Amino acid sequence: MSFREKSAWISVLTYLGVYGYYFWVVAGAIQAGHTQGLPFLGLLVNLMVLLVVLEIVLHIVVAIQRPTDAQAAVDEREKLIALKATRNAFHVVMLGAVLAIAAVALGAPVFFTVNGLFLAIVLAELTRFGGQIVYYRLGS
Amino acid sequence: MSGTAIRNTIRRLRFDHGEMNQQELADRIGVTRQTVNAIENGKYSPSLEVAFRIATVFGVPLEQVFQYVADGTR
Repeated sequence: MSFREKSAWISVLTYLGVYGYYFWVVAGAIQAGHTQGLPFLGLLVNLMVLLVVLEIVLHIVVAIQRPTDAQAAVDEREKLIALKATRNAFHVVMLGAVLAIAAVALGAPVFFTVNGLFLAIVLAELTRFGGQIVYYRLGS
Repeated sequence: MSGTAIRNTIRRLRFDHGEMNQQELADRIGVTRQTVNAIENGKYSPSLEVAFRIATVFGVPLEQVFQYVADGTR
């Protein structure tokens, strides 16, 4: 497995873990009917910092195991894989943006529009990293 | 993703050149070992530049490394 495929796995797992927890908290608030304002903004900022720290630490651990792989320049196939995965993610984030605009137009509370838009961004990132893994597994 | 319409003889050429391994070829043409593997197995068609680099490493014309297989003859 190449360094960049390992990197995609790290991102998928950290995103699922960190933002999975965030949306679990948000789902709990929706169930309890606490959907006024943005009560979890502080939690979200802390989780974003945690995500960055986790990504850096895990990438360092993987890079130490195979330093030459980590230092190798991105080749043409890897660039193509990144472009294809980003194209797929673009559709997800566009759909989320359109739905968020519709929600604002229909007068949805800010709690739902902001968290819905953030969910679209997270899903787009998961699509991007997940797509990279699929393309690496398929060979192209 | 399905295979490409391009066949290649890279595995044979590596064998004929001192059993060169994929990593050595990858280092010489400036791509990852995984990319060499994908090219060799027909899962990825390289750019013209990389194709020429492979031919140059083996010292053979491009068409000896890659052959296009037209539809219906694959």
